[in-house]
Amino acid sequence: MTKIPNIKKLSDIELISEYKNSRDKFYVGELYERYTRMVFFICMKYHRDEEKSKDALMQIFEKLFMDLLEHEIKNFKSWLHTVTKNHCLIQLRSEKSEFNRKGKYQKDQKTFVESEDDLYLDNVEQNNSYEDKIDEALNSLNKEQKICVELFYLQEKCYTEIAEITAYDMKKVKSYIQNGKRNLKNYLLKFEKNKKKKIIINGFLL
Amino acid sequence: MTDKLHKIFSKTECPSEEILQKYLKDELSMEEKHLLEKHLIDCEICSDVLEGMSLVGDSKIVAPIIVDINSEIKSHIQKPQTKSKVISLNSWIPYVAAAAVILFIVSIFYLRQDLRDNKVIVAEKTKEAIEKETDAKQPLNNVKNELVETPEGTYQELDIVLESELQEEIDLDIIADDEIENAIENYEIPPEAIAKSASGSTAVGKAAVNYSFTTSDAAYQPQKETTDIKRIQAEKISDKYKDAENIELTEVQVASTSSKKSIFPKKKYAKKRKAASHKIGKSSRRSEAPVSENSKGNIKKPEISYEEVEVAQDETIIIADSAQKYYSQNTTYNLAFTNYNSNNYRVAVGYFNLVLSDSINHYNSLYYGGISYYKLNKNDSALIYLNKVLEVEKGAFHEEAMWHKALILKRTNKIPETKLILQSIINENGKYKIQAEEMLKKLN
Repeated sequence: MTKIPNIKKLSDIELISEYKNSRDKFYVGELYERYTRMVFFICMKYHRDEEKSKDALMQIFEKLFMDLLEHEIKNFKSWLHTVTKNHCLIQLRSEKSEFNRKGKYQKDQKTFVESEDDLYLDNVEQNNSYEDKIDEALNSLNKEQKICVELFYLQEKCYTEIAEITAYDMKKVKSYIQNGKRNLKNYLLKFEKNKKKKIIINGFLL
Repeated sequence: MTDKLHKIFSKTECPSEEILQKYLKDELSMEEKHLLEKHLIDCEICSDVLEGMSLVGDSKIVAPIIVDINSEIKSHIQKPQTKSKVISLNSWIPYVAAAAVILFIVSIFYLRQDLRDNKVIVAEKTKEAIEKETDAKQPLNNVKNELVETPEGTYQELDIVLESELQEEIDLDIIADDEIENAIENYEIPPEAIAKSASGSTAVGKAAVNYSFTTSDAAYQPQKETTDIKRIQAEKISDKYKDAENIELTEVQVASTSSKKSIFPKKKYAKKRKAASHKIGKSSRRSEAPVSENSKGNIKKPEISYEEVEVAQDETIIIADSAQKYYSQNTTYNLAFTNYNSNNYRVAVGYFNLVLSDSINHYNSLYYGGISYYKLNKNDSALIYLNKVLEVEKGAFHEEAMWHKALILKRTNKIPETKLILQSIINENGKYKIQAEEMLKKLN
């Protein structure tokens, strides 16, 4: 039974581990305090109401005691984000009088739907097989997406600048960029898959 | 080509909240904006946070909200005192044991504190008794001086009384200065005092016992009511003996009865007795013959004895202070009874004796004091007390006293006496008849 030297130095995963071992709520408190601002802003995004967001914040905190014990968590921040988002969505669904807002949310969701997927490509720099295909992938994009992706990633322009250059709406610019990036990824992954298939077929033929 | 791939798919770290705030306030350069936007496209969390931040507006509002929430969170949680891997039942045992020990110590402390308070009351009482005793000694010595020519037996008896008084004064000094708890436990009326009060003058004993019995029954009545009962009784006694002053009595009788009753003197008692004896003395200085008889214990009772007259006088005088006296007496009696009920007989007997020091014929105290002595295996003392109880005809504890007397006699192997008293119990056909019969069978 030793006293913990400095709880602030413990990582999120270490705190979860300590909580699972000791069932001491203090660890959950310490963990949650690191993300209260984040959770509050996320709740604000969905509820658009300060009081509701505060209530949701406490409800999520109380849920954590059980949820942390039930789940294997590798990245607490992203896990907490998902928990928060789901909590807010469930609440919004239960609020029958909030249909309009829900409609607005669903509309917003379309704008940001791409961001739900992982738009990164692992070991991009080490994967030489994509090198020859990136131009091909860029050319596969539609005109708006190609312009916005090239301006954003290759010429490193911000949304405002792209909007000024292209005269597209700011939200559209964001959407073109997100969808363009997603399409690029899919194209490259598709190419990778086909390449593997070819290798397998060739292996059989040989 | 690699540069293009890197630019499009490279990962970036989440920015600080400050950067996000600056972005919302449009305080970032185009390059910084681009880097942040590049991250926001890939990071849903930062994107959501940024959107939430944009809805809050003024970031200064957020700080107090977060402080409130964090304090609320802290109220929900407990600080970890220790780091324990497994919470087992065994780990709680030392804490529970420690808590129990602390609780025990605290309760003992408070109990002792309570006892200490009681001790203080008793100490005050005993000191008061000493003072009163000292005051009472003076008239007693005067009486002794007047007894130079009295028969030897009476004089010796008086000497014993004086010695016991002095001894008691010494004892009380020790009590007041030293341990009061022990004083309570050891506060004993010398058995001879009880015995003398019983044998010295039967009529006085009976009258006093009857009086004590009735008043003790009324002890739980309100104070005023108690006083009224006593007044009525005293008036009855006074009426009964109103012609008693014409009876011929000697000074020796007066001295004898006064001295016997002053074993536990009270200032007021001493004064009252003195006054009473003075009054009676005026009209009764004729014959010495009854004196010698009386001192030997062969009492030839007059129709209305002097002692009864004295009791009547005393009772009348006592009425004025009776409420106050019985209030304190009943407090002591209640303490005695509380200890008796808790089987704490040593302390109980001390308190019963304190009651008896105020009123030597207090019926209930005599009975329960006797039983306490019986429980403490002090057979001789128990017998004296119970004999005193048995002097009262049809007393409330007559049967119990008889039965316990039989038990004590049997315990002390006084078989013939035991058989006699058992036979009496059987003849009386009381509630101990069956037990008495069984015991008698065994003894036979």
